[in-house]
Amino acid sequence: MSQIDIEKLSDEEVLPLIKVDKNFFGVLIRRYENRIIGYVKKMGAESQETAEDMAQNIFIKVYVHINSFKKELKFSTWLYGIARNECIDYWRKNKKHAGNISLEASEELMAILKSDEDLALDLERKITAEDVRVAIGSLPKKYKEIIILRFLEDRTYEDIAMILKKPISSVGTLVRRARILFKESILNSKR
Amino acid sequence: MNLDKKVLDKIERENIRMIPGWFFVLKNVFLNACWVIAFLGSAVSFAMLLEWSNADAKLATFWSIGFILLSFISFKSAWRINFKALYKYGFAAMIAFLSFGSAMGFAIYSSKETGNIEIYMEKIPVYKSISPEEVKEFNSEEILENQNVEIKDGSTDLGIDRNETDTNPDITKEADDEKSGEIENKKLLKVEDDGKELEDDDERTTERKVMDQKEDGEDEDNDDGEDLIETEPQVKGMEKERESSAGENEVKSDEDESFKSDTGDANDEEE
Repeated sequence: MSQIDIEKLSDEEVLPLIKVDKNFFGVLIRRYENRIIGYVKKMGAESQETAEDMAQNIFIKVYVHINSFKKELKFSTWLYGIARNECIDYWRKNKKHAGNISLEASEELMAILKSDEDLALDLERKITAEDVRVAIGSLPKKYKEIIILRFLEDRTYEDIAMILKKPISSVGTLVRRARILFKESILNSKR
Repeated sequence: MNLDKKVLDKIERENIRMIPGWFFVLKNVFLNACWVIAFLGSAVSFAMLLEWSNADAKLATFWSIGFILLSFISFKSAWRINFKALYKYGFAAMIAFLSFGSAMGFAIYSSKETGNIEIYMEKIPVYKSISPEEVKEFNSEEILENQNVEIKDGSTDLGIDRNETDTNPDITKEADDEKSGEIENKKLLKVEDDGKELEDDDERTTERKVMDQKEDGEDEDNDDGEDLIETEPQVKGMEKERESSAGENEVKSDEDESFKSDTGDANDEEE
């Protein structure tokens, strides 16, 4: 099978090939490495090197547990679930970095939130990336996770529900509360 | 960046292998088996504890209802996510399983003849437990009713043939015990009230006496020891009956004496 053909295959179609030859796993790593590193950084990885190390651990865990993957799930959702668990482990080991997101991530988040219809009407346009970073840092972990997954990673409610192992209705409630809390937090930081 | 190369090199270098699929299947089977064992074991143990402790009805009810409510809330919250999350919310799910099982086990144990179900039943205003004395009274009244039916219809008592009861020592013993005393007295009083019944009864007693005499004659012919042993209670029963019938005849009117004279030979011999 040529390289071009493999690239055209979906994630779920590549998985059985990995069981035959582990080199096919490189295809999936190439597809997701940037997204996973970005996600890990947003979730509190203190540096690029740390994020890469975490991403490496995540992919190795994926390889080891590949036989436990269920066909009814999307591979990306399963991958994000493993990445989330890795981030939680990281938070436990490094408590001082638990609430922080990188400045780069906060800038990205600020751009997204300003375009958000619900928030753009109320929020002052003068807020900076630092304000967003502080506001995110002050949020409880579960709301922080929700904001990252929903606004920065642009995951659907169904995906978030699978990643967080919560019902979709709960995810909707969490997103709504996270928005309100974030708005309050950012307004408080401006005052 | 070349993260893919790094990862593949690490897998190659450290000889990392993927966990086989059967391991996950076995893991699920093992965990589910643990759930089932925990559920059954705790249900039985909880029921046994309540059973042995003779717990007050209110206390037992409180625990059972409390556990059921708690289990319902926790189990619902755990189950609606997905089955895998049951392991995450293992404690809540375990309470759910165990408490529901415990309540069920308690209900099963209480429904046995241990008396605990009475504690619950007596709390229900409609229900009233029956004391053993009341049960005896009820049974004796029922026997009397059957006796009356027999007298009127001339049918057998509780489906047992009268002749059979006379010849079978076991049945005659029981019959004598039951019919002696109060039952016979009540029967007498009833017969006094109703003339027809009195006549029927007298006819019946005379018939029975004739039958007894015949049977006595047959028994005397038998020389077997076993037969003699068997006939002893029968003879005693018959004697009792005759005494009671003699008592009846004394109380009764002159009509009875005429009956006596009809069967006089047999009675004189016995006396």
